[in-house]
Amino acid sequence: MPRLPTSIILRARALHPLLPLLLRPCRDLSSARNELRWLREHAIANREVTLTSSGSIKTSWPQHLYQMCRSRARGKPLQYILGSQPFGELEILCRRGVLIPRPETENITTHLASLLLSPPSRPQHPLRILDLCTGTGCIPLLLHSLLAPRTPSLHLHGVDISPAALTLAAKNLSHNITKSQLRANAREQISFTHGDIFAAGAKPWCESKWDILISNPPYISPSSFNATTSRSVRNYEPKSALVPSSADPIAGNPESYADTGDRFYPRLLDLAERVSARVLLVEVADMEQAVRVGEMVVEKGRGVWDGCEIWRDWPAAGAEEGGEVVEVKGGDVRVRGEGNGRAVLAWKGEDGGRMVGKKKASASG
Amino acid sequence: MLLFKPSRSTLVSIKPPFRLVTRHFSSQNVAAAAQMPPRLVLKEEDIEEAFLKGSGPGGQKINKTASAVQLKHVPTGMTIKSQATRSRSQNRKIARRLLADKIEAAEKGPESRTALKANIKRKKKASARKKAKRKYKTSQEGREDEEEEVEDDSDEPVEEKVKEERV
Ligand SMILES: C[S@@+](CC[C@H](N)C(=O)[O-])C[C@H]1O[C@@H](n2cnc3c(N)ncnc32)[C@H](O)[C@@H]1O
Repeated sequence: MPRLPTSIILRARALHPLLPLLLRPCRDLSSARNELRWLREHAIANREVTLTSSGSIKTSWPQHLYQMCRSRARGKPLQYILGSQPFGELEILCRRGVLIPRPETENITTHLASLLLSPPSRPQHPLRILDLCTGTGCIPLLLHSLLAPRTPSLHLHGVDISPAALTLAAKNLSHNITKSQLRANAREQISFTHGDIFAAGAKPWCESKWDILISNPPYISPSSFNATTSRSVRNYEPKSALVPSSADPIAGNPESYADTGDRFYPRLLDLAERVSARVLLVEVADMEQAVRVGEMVVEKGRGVWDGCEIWRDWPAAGAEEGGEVVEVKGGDVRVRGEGNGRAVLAWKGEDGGRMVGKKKASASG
Repeated sequence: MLLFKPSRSTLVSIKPPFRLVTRHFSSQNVAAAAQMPPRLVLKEEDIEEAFLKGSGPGGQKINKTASAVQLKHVPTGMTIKSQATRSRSQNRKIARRLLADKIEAAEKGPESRTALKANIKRKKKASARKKAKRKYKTSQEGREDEEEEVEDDSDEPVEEKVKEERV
C-alpha cells in the first residue's frame, strides 16, 4: 500500500485527533470522517454511565471510541467493531469467524427479488428457495424481507458447514423479527441447517424439491487470496468462507479447476439438478469466472438449462436493447448491467424463464 | 474502496422493488411540522441513481464500508448525494428527501419548506433571546439552542446530518 501524503494526515489531524487513525484503513478523508461519525454514535449509544462515590457522573465513551479507532487502524473490519452490517432494510449481526455480507451480494439478491415480483413472474404456489453456503443467513433473510409482503407462501432454507455461521444466522433471524424488520412468519418460513454441500448421502434439504437455488460460495483461488484480497479481509475474515479448501472433492476434470477458485460450481450445478431447481443464481469473483461457470452451464445441455446470463455488480443498470454479449462455447450469453462480472443466472423450462422475467424459454436470454 | 466519481459514472434508472415514501419528522419537529406544507413527493420514474463504480475487484475480496447514493432528478437535472448512514437503502431515502427539498426550494423560494423552516428557527431564536433578556439568565437558553440544532436541516453538508435524518 502506498504511503499517505503528509498533507492529508495533517488535514485529518486538524479536523479531529482520531481521524489519522481511521485514515490508515480508509485511505481517504471523506470515508474516514464517515467512519468516525459511525464509531462515535456507537460509542455514545453504548456508553456506560456510572455514579462515582463522590456523586459525580462518569462515562467512558471517549475512551471506548479511542479503543475502537485503534482496532480499526490495525485493520479490524468496521463491521466486526460495530457488530453489524446493514443489508437492505435489515441489520445483519457480524461476528469474528463469519464472513461479513457484501454490498454486491445485497445488489444481486435485491435484483433477483425484483425479477420475482414483477410480471410475468408472480408465483402462485409456495415459492421454495435454497441458499447453500448461507453464512450470516443474509441472503434468505433479505429475500424474505423483500418477497414476503407480496408472496403469501414462502419457504427459505440456508445450509452452512460452519457451526458459528449457523448460530449467527439463527440470531439474525430473531434479531430482525424483534426489530420488526422481518414479519413474524419469518420464523416459520426460514430455517437453517448444518451441512457440508460435498458430503455424500441423503440430507433432507437435498432430497426435497426447490424452485430456486442461490449461493455465494467461497470463490477465491489460493493465489489471488494472497495477491488481490485486502489486508483487512485476509487478516480478519475466515479463510474457509473465501477460498475453497483443497480437501473439497473436485468433480469432473481436476486439472481444469486447479487454482481457479471454481471448485464449488460443478457441485452446485449438480445439486441444482438434483433438487429440480428451475432457477440458479451463483455469485462469482469476476468476468473470467463468470464465463467459466457459464461454460459449465452450457455443457450441461439444453435438457438441463434453457438459458443463462451473466450479471455485473449493478444488474439493473444500462441499456435494455442491444446490450452486451460474451461468447461461451460458441453461443452468445447476455451480460447485464455495469461493474465487475458478479453472478451467473440460469433457468430451466418456461416456468423458470417466467420467474426471472424471460417471456419464453430461450437460450442466452 | 469506493471512489466517488460522479463525472465518470453513468446515471441509470434503478427501480427498487418497493416504493418507499417516507414522511419524516423528528419529535422536536412536530410543532414546526404542523405549520409546514407536506414534503414534495417525487415521481419514481423521474429519479435516476448514479451507478458508483468501486475501484478494484469488489465482492468477497474487500470489505468496504461506503454506501453513498447519488440521485438525479431528470426533469430539473438536479442531483444530490447522501452518505449519511452505513445503509444504502437508508441513504436512498435520505437522498430522496433532500432532493425533494432542493427542488421545492428552487421552485417556491421563500414559500418552500426549507425556507419556512429557516424562518421558524429564526423566530424561535429571536424569542429565546428576548426571553433571556427579559428574565434572568438560565440554562433554558442553552437547552433551546440544542433543540434547534437538531431541527436544522438547511444547508450543511450531508455528512453532518445524520442525527436529524436517522429514521
Ligand atoms: C462467501 S461465504 C458466503 C456467506 C453468505 N452467503 C454471504 O453472502 O455473506 C461462504 C460460506 O460457505 C460456507 N462453506 C464453506 N464450505 C462449505 C461446504 N463444504 N458446505 C457448506 N458450506 C460451506 C462458509 O462457512 C461460509 O459461510
